[in-house]
Amino acid sequence: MTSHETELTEKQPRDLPNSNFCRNLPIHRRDPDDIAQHAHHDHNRLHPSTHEDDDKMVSLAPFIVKRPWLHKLMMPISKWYVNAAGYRKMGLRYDDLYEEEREAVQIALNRLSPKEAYERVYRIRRAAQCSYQHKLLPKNEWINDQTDVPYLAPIIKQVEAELAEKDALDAATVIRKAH
Amino acid sequence: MISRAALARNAQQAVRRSWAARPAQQRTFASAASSSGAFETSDVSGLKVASRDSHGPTTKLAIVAKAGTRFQPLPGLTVGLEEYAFKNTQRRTALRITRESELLGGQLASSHTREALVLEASFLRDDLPYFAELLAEVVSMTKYTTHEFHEEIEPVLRIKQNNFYNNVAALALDNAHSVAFHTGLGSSVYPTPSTPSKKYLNEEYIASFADAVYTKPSLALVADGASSQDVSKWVGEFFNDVQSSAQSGQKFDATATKYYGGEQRTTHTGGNAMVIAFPGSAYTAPKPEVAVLAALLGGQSSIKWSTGYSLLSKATSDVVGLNVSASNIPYSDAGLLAVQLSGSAASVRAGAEATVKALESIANGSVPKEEVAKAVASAKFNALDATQLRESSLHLVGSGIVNTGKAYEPASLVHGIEKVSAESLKTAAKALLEGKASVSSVGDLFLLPYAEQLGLRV
Repeated sequence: MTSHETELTEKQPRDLPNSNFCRNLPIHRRDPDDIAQHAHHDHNRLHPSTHEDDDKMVSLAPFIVKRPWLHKLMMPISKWYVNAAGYRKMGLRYDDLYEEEREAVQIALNRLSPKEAYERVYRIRRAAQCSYQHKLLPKNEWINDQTDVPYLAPIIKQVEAELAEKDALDAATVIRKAH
Repeated sequence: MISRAALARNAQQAVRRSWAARPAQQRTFASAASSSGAFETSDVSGLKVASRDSHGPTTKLAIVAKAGTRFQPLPGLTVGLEEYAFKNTQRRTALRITRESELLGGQLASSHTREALVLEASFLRDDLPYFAELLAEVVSMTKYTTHEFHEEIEPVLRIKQNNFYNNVAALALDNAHSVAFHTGLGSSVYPTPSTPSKKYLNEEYIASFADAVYTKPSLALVADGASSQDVSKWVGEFFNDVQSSAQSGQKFDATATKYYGGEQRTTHTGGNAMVIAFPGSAYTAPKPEVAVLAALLGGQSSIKWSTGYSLLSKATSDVVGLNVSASNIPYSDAGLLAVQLSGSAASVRAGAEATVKALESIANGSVPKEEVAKAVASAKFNALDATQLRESSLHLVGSGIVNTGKAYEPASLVHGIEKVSAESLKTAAKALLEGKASVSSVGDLFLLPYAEQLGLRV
């Protein structure tokens, strides 16, 4: 009798949710060359210039966050940097700055609740108005640490994980262990 | 040239081989026949499990939940829950579920009736653990995300609604249920496009409905083609996360069904259909007369090249393009003996008139004894066949367990059917004609008759 043991090999390693099935069908990562090729193909979709692609971009953030003393040291600098960037003074949140011309962001924008979507458009139009007038908002309307909430980034991350899983499963090869 | 001797030798060998092969074959048949067709029921840590092993190479595993349209607190929740089956769970995504099942050659399906919601998986026998885990996951760990509702469920729902609305026969049967039972069993089996669903159907309501109905007391796990040891082993392992009562404390219990009767007429351009229905037989308290009556009225021939013995198929043999069938639709505490007619408006009208005439002839006692004997045999076959076929038996056993606590047994119904005589049929038919009927017509109402014109009381 032939056993039904199969082996699922994925070209692109990702943190895929594990289940019992995966334990039975071990997912093996391929050699790094293969992964690099695949990542290159993926370049268009997972834009490397945005900060949520920590796995793609070389970032010091995880290194710093892991060390409390360093984190403490860097906080004032980070705060200064964010304020110097100026978007908060025009009433924008960081998540309003994502470029919309990406599949993942488009899908994520559709998943916003009607209220969030409305407020996002309002903030962007207000910022555009500020830009035309060469003015900043009055200080009490500036976005601060409390109001600069990541409302879109988690959704983008989730969509990207979905798309990556789809690619990974599309590229999966099944190796049947006969007998 | 092949010599005759060679041919003879081959023939001899073939015969010998077939003789040699026969005992082995007989043995397999004997072992298959030795397992009885009945389901074994057991209780695995509060979850009721029924299994039947036919020693075949494939298995069908189904979860039957007491979550049909009868039990939904708001219209459409059952349908929503059905669509959420096999969507994202806390462990894996819908896509992954699909791809993994494909890889194993499994088939996943979800469906609902008025009383039950059925999630089923068909697969090769060896893959039982995987699919047992999957079904447990669907029941206890589905995420009910907003984006899936908007992106995947709503569009499908809209298409299915239109599909249902354009099926005049289904619409007529649905209307017949609603005039017969009003709420509960009478609530629409599928929301029509004109149902105000926006108000009632969203992922939060669906999730809270799931919380109330995906609990151990209102679930039954039915396995066909798996040994009971295997099933209870894997169920014991994977179904621990299924909660034993709703977190919110909600409970949707149905009130006892009451039969009302009445008439409903709907204009429709998509075809013509009529349903003439009477109080039927429930599977908890089966009325054998109703089963025999349904077989006697019949409508569809079960034999080739013949109209068959049934009264309706004989009476409507010269009506062109008419599709007629009589059946008893059983539920846990009520049933509907329904004659469903569809076709062109004129032929449906002729069929409806013939139906009432056929019922009157049974009530008069003018039906020959042989026909009754044929109907008894046919009803008996139908009752037993339903428990043997994989699809219908899963539904019957599952709904039996969740609604009454024990698997459906056809024995009492079959005994009852054997005792039905022309005399008892006569009284049964008379009672039906004197009581209130449920009549629904869909289509060209200029031609489709009123119940009054047919001579029925509504």
